[in-house]
Amino acid sequence: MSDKFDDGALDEMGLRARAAGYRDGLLELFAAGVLGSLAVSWLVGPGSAGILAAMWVLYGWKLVDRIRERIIYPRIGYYKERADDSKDSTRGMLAFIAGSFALMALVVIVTGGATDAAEWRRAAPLVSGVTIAAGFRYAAVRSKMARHNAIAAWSAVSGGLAWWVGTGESYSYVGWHLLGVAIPLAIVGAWTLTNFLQHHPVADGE
Amino acid sequence: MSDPLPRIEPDRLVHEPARLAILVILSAVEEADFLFLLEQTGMTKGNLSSHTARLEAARYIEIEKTIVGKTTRTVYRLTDAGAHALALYRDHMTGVLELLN
Repeated sequence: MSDKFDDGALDEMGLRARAAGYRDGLLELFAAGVLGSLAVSWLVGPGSAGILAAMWVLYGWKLVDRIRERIIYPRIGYYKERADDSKDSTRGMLAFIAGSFALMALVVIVTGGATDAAEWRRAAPLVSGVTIAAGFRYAAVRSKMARHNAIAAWSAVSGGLAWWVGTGESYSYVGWHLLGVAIPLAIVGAWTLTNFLQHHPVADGE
Repeated sequence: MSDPLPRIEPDRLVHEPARLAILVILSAVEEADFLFLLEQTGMTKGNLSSHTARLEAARYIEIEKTIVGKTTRTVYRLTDAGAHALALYRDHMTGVLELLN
């Protein structure tokens, strides 16, 4: 610890503490679970898969909390993230979602398919692509971790690819896009968690 | 004759680097336990205990002991007075550095 006052170093210290919750890979695993179960329910139709997706969305984070309590906090300590109640974040997320629908409309209109329902279905992955990208861009702003920006970029690009190769016969390409983001997320999350556990042994008690 | 420079009197309690680190970390999270502060600051247990005790005595942080499973968890939170003292200190030091530059 330096004796000299360095405001940037203090900001860095605060940022490192704030980003502690992103180091274990559980956010990625949770998101992979949400997107994967949504993709399966989207592709095989609502029913048991839909219930699974709803259960995961509702209770998945509680599971993450329990895992943190059992295996993460004994290693790096307990912390509770400060809630982000800034209006800028909410406005930013809403703007991104509205922007994703605007992008879909723009693409459909520019490609001359405004009156064709198939073109609207084909462009639907653009919405999921940009919305998920917005979520991970937000995570990247808070965590300052490159992998969150990479996931955001991949979501936007894969959404575009799903639109490009889609036929518009059904909304199934949204499901394929969700799966295409969920699988790399699960891999990144599992790798990060394994790495984290290897480098952080259980600490002595207080 | 008037003093050309304002008197530099930072809050001595905050000015100490270890205590400043504790306050900065607690300002970034809602609350954190002893182990988290230990991991983030790299201090020894004895050092951390004595610095947190001084900050608690000044009411800059509050300490709560809870039982989780079979172990005790000591949770630390920054108080409003602590947040104010930290903000004031940073403003003060930034002002002094600007003046010197």
